[in-house]
Amino acid sequence: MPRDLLIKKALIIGSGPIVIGQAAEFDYAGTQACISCREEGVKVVLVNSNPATIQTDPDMADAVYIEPLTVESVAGIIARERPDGLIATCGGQTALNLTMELEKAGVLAHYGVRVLGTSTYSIRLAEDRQIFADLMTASGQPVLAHTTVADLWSASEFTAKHGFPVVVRSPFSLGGTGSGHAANEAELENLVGDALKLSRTGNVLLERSVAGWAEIEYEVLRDSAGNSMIICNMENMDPMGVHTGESIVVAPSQTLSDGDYQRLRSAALDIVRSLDVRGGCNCQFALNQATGEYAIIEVNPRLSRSSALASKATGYPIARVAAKIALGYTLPELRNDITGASVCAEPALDYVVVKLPRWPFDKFRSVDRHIGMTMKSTGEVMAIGRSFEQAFLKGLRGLDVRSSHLEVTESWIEEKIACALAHPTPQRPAAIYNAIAQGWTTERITRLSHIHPWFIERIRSIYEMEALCSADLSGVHIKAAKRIGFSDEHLLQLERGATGTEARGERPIERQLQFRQKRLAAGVRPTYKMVDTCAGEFTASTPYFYSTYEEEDEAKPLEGRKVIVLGSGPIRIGQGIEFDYSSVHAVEALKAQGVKAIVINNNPETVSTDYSLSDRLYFEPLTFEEVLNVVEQEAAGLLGVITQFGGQTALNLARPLAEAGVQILGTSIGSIAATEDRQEMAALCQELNIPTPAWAIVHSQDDLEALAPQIGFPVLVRPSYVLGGRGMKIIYDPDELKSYFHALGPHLRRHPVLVDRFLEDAIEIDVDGVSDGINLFTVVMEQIEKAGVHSGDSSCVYPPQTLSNAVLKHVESYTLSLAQRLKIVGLMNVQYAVKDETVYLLEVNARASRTVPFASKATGVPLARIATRLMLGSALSDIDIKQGSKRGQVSVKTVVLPFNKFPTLPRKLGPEMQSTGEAMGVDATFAGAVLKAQLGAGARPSDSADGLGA
Amino acid sequence: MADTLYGLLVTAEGAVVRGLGGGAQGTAVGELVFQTGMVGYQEALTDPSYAGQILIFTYPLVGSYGTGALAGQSSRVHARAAIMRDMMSSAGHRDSSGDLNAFLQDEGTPALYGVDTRSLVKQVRLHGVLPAALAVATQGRLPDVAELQKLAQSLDYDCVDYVVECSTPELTWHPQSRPEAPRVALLDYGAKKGMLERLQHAGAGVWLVPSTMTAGEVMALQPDGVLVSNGPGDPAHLGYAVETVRGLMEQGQLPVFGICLGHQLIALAAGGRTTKMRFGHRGINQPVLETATGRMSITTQNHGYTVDPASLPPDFYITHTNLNDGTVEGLAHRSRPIWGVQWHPEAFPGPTDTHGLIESFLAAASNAAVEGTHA
Repeated sequence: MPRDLLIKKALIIGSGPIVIGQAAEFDYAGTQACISCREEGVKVVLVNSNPATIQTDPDMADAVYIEPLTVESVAGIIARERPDGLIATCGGQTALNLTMELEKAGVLAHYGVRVLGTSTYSIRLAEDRQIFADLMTASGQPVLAHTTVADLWSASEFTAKHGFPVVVRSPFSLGGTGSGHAANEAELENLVGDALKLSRTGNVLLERSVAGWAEIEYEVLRDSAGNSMIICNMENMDPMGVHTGESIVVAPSQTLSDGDYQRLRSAALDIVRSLDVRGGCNCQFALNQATGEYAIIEVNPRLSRSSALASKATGYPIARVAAKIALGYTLPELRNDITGASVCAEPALDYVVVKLPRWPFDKFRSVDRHIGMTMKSTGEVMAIGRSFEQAFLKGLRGLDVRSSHLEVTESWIEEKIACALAHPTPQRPAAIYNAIAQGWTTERITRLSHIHPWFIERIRSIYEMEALCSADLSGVHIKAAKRIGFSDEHLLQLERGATGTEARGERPIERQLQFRQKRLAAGVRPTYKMVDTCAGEFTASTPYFYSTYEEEDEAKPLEGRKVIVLGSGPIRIGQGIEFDYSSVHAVEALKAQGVKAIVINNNPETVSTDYSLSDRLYFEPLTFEEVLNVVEQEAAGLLGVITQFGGQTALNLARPLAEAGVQILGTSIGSIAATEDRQEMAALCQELNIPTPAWAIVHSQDDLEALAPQIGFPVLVRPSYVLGGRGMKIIYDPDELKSYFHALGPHLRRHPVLVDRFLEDAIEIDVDGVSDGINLFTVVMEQIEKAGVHSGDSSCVYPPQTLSNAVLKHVESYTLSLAQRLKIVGLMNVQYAVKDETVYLLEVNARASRTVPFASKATGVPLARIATRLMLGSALSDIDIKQGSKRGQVSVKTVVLPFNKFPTLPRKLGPEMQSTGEAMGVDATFAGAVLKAQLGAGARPSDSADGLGA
Repeated sequence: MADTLYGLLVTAEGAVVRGLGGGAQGTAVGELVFQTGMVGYQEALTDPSYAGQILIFTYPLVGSYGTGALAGQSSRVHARAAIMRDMMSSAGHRDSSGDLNAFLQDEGTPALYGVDTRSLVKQVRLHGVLPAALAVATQGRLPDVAELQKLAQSLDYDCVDYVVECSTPELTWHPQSRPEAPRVALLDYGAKKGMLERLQHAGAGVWLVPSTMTAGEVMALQPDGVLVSNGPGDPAHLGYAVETVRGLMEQGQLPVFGICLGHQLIALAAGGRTTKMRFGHRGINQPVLETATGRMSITTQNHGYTVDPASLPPDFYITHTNLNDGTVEGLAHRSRPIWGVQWHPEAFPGPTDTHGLIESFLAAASNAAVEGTHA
């Protein structure tokens, strides 16, 4: 069946602000759907309240509405745009739920809007667990013993019959919210109570628990003619009981025989047939490895986090093909544009993919760190290698957390290991590693953790390699270690450990470069392999590579002038999708200037890791070593590396890369360093006559005693070099200050603490600027919450609503003099506080900020694209900047907070950032824009004030 | 480490790959081919269609779930040797009775691992399948490169009859489990155990027929239908098999269904031609299109020859094509119950999406039986 020509205009619904359980993967899916529809000549209307998305860019759709995802607002858009159809499956659970509500309200029928692809009927079948279970039972597919209850009494009746443990779930929920394991009556009471509160239907589901079974997922595509295929299967390293979003996931499955694989594959195809899925579908199974028994756990008849992962893991554009299916095409009619092959070949991988979650426990230190059925992670990394070990170790260092490798430490006493194995936390891989180091058998580790022995054996082989290299780090061992995935940095540590020397004054980068030379001299260098979806069977030209250590290198350097753009890695609080947005804009700007764009990033959710976007994608961890490898690979014609758009992750690499001789485009390393050095900044402000609050750098308890009285109270304290205000606090008296420093302990020596006078009741101003070092274009945003709330958590408004002309003039002139003095080339972000009409400088960042997407959308000026042109050498005066926003239009950004995932977290805002995402509201009045932003963030008018956005 | 084994591969053209050795010590000669399945290594190794070939696994980790009696597709390993990136030890699958390494050792099959298999696969893709020799030995005991190259050059894969070594030595009868089920002849040119099991699963009685039997001898068994099996080698050199199949096709209303080699034999018997492909189709992810319905199926394939569509006589038509490269995947007679598919509907390994074809064959055989009674 060719494309349905009656569909001339389609509405695509986005997923709204980033929340835990629903992240950048839906920007990727929606963006692909937009491209896919438009290349078929279908006009696209897009609605999403999240400005930090590529899909809401003006050139992604024929009409973009940054409006609340509510029935009322979307009904208005439908009335105005009169689309023929609606694609509901690219915007996560948010878009599905909204589509169901639109249908229920009669909006779709009234305007004759068809739901394209998988029907609302199918969605209901899949989501009502009772109906779904009956359907599966009828088609001979096993489901777990279950029941739906509306009260605790009926729940107890179920457990009396089927016993404990049971799983409690709230239907239509996101990221497992309201789900949990009940092992006894008391737990059951709590969970059922909570789940009932969250349930939209007034019911909760109880189900036989299969904790400890393996969890296996299949990503399926099916068309309206009934053709179906598997894109990828995935095995969760963590067994059932840990949400797949919280689990370490490997693709393809590793421990399944052909018999296991095909049985589950057939079951997945049975499921999509029973549900009449027309598009993508995720099927989750529990498999008892001891007996071969399996059961269907969950089905998501839409694109998902798993489908984004499967797309990146295989190179297969699931969302793009699903959109074509929604337009009426059948699978055999479609070809993959990039590979030229039929889209029907099930991808064959010749590598191993590992996904690791990124948790916000570094920000939320007080919350329960156990992982289970509710998602707590904010993002993830993916890594590709030719072995599990290689991919796993690449993934670990790509997480960008303190520990970049598995480490043996003395704190892992036997009881602690046993506890960490049985009760999963993010520390479980470390627990396994230390158990192995202490001589535990695989069987014992498996017995406690229920992790398949295959994975334990892989981690054991990492440990054995470590032991080998600790004893002797000769060329042969370096080669073996690199093949298994060790970093230079880790090998260097082993070398130092072995010889026990630590030369003083030597800089870490120099040492790493020396080790690198030694490695290269031994002939050990990375080779790049292509992700081609066919395991080398066909000639492909997919511009998508990963590194490994083998014989043949397939990534012949790109010809012509080119630039490397560093991405921002996993999504975390303080470094979210906003940075991916800027990275994507940099790529687009480079291509428009005729410069080839190369992306390095390791986040599978994002648009930046869509290989069809850049000229070449290296799916690699954002580490010094791995970035330098790509730089050397692509040296010919390389103009430089852009580090401004990838958040602190990329910016932190600027200096070491420069030290290694790499050209960093834009603002110089010296200026970046100056912005990060308070002393230098203070001198600069004095020179430029810019007021700053009183401040001091405190290295020791003694400093504190001496300096605190000079600054006065309240003070804002924060450790240096932090992201998103980690460890930041406002302190009102000397005693509190003392205990804060006491708590920091030994960290204080390595990272001194900044103590600033805190300006109470001041108004904060956020300025995004783009400059060539001479001229400057600024977007000035006024924060709505008073100073003291982290700018990332504060609502803000453009244009400013309460600032006087005098203040705005000061802001302009200070920012200009900073840009000129620091010779900013590219983006800068400056934060000011205004108190009693005096403008104080708080902070300067020589990089893209979180507010770039909002500022770009509020003004219609593509800041990141302009910045990229400036970095290539254009002058700002040569660029025609047209303000796209209408006169009198007010834009408000508001945030979404993850309090529902962390019930113990105090529900208050402060200097430490806590929000996961943002929504934007645009209106003719400030009040109207605030309301729209709040609605866009998911608030309902009836919600109490403190529940807003929660 | 005196007992460490090393492996060496040399192609007829002189390409050399060195790595670690596994399985049995010794030297093997075969046509170098690759297989893209991510599961099913034991099924592939024991598939008789790989006789005479050295099998490269594109998936890097092979052996992770061990080996066991359930997965074997014949009584032994037919591939001459195996090449993989990493040879894994088993981590306790319930169906596993031992490691892949020990299994290959017992089977006398040498294996080369620790090598850049992707690079090797690309060479095969580029230059086509080619003769090669693979040796596994302890340090210092590996043969010379020149010696192995000579061995490789001595192989003329297309001219060897590998069917002889794969076919059942004698006629065996596997009675039906349902009395009303048909009795069929499975012409064994290298049939996989999975095919016999599928037929039995459906209740059919099966004559497992050696490749040496003539059409007349087969007809003497009075089968309700004939299934012409898969098997190794160039069909154009299996004159006797073409003769047998032609004799059976001339029976008129006797259902004759060919799979893989069997499908090629039907084409040859009908007067068509087969040609050698550059590197063939070997994997469990091959999409085929049923031309009449537009329906797509994912199939298991293992073949290096293909039916030339232009060579088919007018009373045959093409029923299926490959969605990747457009090659012939199925053919049928316009009026008689004679048809074939290029893939393996029985799976083992691979998707079971087209199991229905085997049931269709049995249904045709049942019909023929009923009509035969009436006649």
